Amino acid sequence: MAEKILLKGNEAMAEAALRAGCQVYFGYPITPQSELIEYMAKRMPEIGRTFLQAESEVAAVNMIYGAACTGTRVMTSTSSPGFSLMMEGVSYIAGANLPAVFINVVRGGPGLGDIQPAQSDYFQGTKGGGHGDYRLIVLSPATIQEAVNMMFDAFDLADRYRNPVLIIADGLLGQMMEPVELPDFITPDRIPNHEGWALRGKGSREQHTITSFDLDPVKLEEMNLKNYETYQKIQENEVRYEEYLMDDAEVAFVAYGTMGRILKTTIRLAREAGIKAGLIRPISLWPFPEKPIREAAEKVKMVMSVEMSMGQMVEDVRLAVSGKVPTPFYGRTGGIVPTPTEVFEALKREWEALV
Amino acid sequence: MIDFNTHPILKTYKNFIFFGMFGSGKTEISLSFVRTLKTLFELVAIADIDTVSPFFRSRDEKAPLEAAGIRVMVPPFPFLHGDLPIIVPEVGGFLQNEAYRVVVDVGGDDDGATVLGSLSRFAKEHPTAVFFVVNTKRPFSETPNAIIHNMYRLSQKSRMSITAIIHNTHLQAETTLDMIAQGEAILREVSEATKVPVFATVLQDSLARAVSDHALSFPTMTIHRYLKTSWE
Repeated sequence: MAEKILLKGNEAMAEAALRAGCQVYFGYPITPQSELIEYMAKRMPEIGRTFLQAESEVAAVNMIYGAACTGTRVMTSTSSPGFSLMMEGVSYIAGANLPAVFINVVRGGPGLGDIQPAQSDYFQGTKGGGHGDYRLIVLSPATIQEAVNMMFDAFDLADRYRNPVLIIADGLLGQMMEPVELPDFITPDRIPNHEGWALRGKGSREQHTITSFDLDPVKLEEMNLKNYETYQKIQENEVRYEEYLMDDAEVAFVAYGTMGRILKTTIRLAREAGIKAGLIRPISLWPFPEKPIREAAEKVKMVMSVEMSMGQMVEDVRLAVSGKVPTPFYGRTGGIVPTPTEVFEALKREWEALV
Repeated sequence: MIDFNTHPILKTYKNFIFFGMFGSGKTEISLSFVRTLKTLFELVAIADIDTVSPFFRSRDEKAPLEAAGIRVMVPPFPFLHGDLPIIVPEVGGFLQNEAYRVVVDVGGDDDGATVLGSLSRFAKEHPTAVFFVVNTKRPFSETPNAIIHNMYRLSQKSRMSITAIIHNTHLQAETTLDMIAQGEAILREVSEATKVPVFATVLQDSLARAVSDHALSFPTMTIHRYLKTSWE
């Protein structure tokens, strides 16, 4: 077993990305994510990788677009307003079927907002954000160790489906420290070579073209349909979630990231008070774990979504539950992280209104 | 364990600065040390000059520290959670005020040390202990050479010479005595090479109860962890 070290979430995601084969990083600093780019700036030259601080997020995402065309493992990281700036490029990258990894360490919004933790970029990550019919694979870790392992998963998924992957971590996960075990650097033979499409100099082979552009509507529709075949496969194969104490649960909480972690304490408080609560924690936000939530709705009396937002994921929860049981919501915004006790009080109010 | 009632460090110095690499434990040590000072002296203050970390800062403990009678110097409320490098001017005043014992919690890495440099004149003119905090379980602090390099670089940036090293090797709840002993061995090498003494090995109170006085080679000081997440 590798030795553990003490890492901040931002540092851990950076080191794990390098071990997962990230060769190239472009980015622009923004709180509460700046440790990630700073770590990359320090560490990448040490191990012969390429780091570049762009002049803005708009420049960074287009550098990612260019580098991704070569089939190289490439990534960037940012926080909410910075990710908004990247949206045009994200749509182009998705439209051009390119593998790339994005990290959004989410802070309070909208607009300039603040630098405290939030989960209010769920819509932006899972429902588009940029223009056009496209999907990102969106993953969200609850612990720093999970974030480390997720970096390897993210690069593999991006390569496997030729689709950008977004990791949504709230600011708290970026800033807190935990002991983690870092997997070894992967060997180059584990990274797909993408010979069949990557742009690396034509030589004597047939020309490769990478574009999201077609003036022929029929062809453009074909391109969209092909993308949707890929999205279908992703939905069939890549749903990730954790269930916690759901076997005998009467109330199912749904929460992701740090909120999912806080709810485990709430669930202990609830069970001590005689309310059998459990948790479904989406790890992939898209594809959303619709099936386990739909199945839970057959057994429980209530499905309650808790988020650090005014209620975004709750819309997907309600689609999954389809009106079978009540689906109350509890959330805080502005960078305020709900405490376990506060959520327990909210649960009690909803539970007492129900039974 | 260090007995601060009799330890000469509190007679020699009136200001205590904790700086070092990012995430080395400066804030937690500052928070415990200032409370120790308060048990021994009437007039005690702490300055949060961390302009690097956005969360988990001394300012998050402002209310309990003030309730304990400790003067807390942080940016004014409208800017408390700002992403701005604010050092309130009273920090310089308190460092000069002979009546006060003052703890300074500095931001990590080169940026934090540069900010500290703005206070170097006060530190030179008044008896100030400058502690370099090291956790050997943190990246860029795992070997004697890396630590020595950090010490020289941050000392230059802060324009302060280091009085002593504080050894804070830990892995939160997964800390073991062996791990701490390995950290001591690394810092012994650092100390021999730099001629900077090691002031103490830090133990979290939960672990300190299980450790006998003779298990470690440096004197120990106990801290309590104040900045926890809501689920801990």
